[in-house]
Amino acid sequence: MNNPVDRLTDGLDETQRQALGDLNALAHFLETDLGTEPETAGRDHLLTVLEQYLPGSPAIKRRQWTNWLRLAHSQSVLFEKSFWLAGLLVLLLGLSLSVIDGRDLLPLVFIVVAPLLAAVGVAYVFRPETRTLGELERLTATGAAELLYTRLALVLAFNLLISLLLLLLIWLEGPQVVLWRLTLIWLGPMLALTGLAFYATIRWNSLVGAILPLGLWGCLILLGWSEAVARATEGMTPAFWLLLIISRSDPLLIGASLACLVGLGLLGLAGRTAPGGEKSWS
Amino acid sequence: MELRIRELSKSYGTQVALRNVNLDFQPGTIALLGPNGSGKTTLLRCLASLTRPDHGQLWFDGIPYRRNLKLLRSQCGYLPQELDFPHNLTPRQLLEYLGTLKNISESGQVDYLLSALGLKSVADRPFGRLSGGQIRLTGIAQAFLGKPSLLLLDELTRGLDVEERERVFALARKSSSGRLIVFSTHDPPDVERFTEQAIVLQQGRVIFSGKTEDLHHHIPGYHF
Amino acid sequence: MESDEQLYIRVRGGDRTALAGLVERYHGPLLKFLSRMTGQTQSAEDMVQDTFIRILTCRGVPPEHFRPWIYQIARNLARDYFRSAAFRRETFYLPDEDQGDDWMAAPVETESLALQSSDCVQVNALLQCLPARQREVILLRFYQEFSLEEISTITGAPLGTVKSRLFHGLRRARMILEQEEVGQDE
Repeated sequence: MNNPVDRLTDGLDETQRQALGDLNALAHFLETDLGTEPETAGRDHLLTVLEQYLPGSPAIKRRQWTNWLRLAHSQSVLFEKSFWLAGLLVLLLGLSLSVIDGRDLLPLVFIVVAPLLAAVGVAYVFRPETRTLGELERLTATGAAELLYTRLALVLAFNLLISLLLLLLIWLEGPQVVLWRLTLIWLGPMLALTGLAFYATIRWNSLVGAILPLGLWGCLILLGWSEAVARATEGMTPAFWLLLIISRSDPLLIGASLACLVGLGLLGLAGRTAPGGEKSWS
Repeated sequence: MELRIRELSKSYGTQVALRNVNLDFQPGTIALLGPNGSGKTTLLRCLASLTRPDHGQLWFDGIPYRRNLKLLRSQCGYLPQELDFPHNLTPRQLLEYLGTLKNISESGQVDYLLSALGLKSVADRPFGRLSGGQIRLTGIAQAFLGKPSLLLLDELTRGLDVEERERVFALARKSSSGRLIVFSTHDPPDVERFTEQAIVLQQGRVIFSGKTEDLHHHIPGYHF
Repeated sequence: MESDEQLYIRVRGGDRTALAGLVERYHGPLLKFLSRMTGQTQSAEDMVQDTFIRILTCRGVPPEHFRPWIYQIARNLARDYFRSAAFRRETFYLPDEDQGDDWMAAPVETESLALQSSDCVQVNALLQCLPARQREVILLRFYQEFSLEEISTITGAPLGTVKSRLFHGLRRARMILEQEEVGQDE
């Protein structure tokens, strides 16, 4: 199609063409622009850079699962003993409560504490003391996002392990609790708060990453508590009320599912905001 | 590895750290000199791509930095001026950790560096219980890890005694072939022993770039 | 001659020669498209590189039609550029009054056209006067010679919307050019 006006208007309706009038001047004006021609050296540099991204290039050798494990193991060295101990403490707390008043109180503690554990864990892992290390990490062949997700996966896996053990206890103690509902209602807030902690830590700092999810969760607990206290006048204990809504409330399930999605979204967003990326420098 | 800097400027608030710096680097060893606050650390951080300049361009091997940070960073070893490693880690753990991130397959490299820098006896002691010199040596060891073709060493010998300095220079000499090493120092004997090329910065400007023997001709009163 | 799709499949297999072939074919056209789109040659060069990196790191099924696909990636990168903080720092930001769009380049004052020297710069100035959504449709139609159906695929907008953007963009471009000519006559 050589006619420059046709190149502009081809595909438009006849009425639109007529309404546009004579476009010869515009078409010829646009034709005068030959555009920016790339330099040969520029093309050579482009090829040099792109060759690193070719499949099979040693520069971007895809990480094997054994390498992922090696990376995860290396990350675990960075976590202080106190991090692991805090998780175990929560587990012990759950165990002791189940001994004292297993039927009612444990699910309550579980729901309230588990997401907090995850959020605080994330903020802890990205604490400021590792800033020098963070800079040195940026000067390696491992991408910032790879590191962040490996670290996050470790925190989540550890919390998941503790939570699964507690879930098992609850299930053993209170068969009236529907297990999948409880899992989902736990997973929703945990992922959402973890995502929020992760994003806030990457975007701002680990203090904001700790305060923001803690504050949000605190508000939700307070709101829920006032509701539970109101129910107490109807003769229900808070724990019993919680078990009841876990077993029956569909809106809560939908809310937890949405929280899951929000959490995953925030985790993805945080990965894209990760420091040390090429975008953040250029 | 060749680096080129054109019209590089960087300010922190109202304080100008670098003003219109133009430099070319070829493989070799270059000392970066200048008083405190002259812009040495900022220049090294810009070269390491850890600090983004306000103006100007940097190229390595003819490719603009912003186009290929991944390759540059995978070829760069960096010693920061301040070292603040997690107190619970040990030198060996740190080197093994960074070695994993650098995809180093040679298992002997960590042991070689620990041994070359005299850190073997404290390799498994947490940083919280190490002296400043031992921490600095570990910082130097991690910079050499992975045999990077670009080494940027800020305050290379700060806090090191004579014996430790000798070990550092011996390691650097062994590793210098075909590499670009840029190190900053306040210690004239370091420069005399280690290199014949120097760059002098003052208030963010390059006031000298060339052979160290010519330095006192260009800057009267500058002696080693 | 080998098709783009065949070359791309070879690139996915790690073939350097095929990569050089694709770069040879698309480096220039993409640079022109993105330069006209953003008005910034340096940013355009970065986006061309990013476009190629995206196609190299893509793990999905190879596209049926390579050319619209690579332009779709380039166009999305240009959109991200307009949304980026870097762009907002350099220019002010206005919502598109026509489509309720959230991204467009700040219109250049039409008076400035007369101040530009070469034809190339004049065309660039005129293009930058248009909202980005209209500009991209004109560029893809006029310079890259995509059909409106293909532009609809590239931009993700319905065909009717593409037609409307082309119509409004051309009307606006013509008006600016005529104003400019009147200004020069006076």
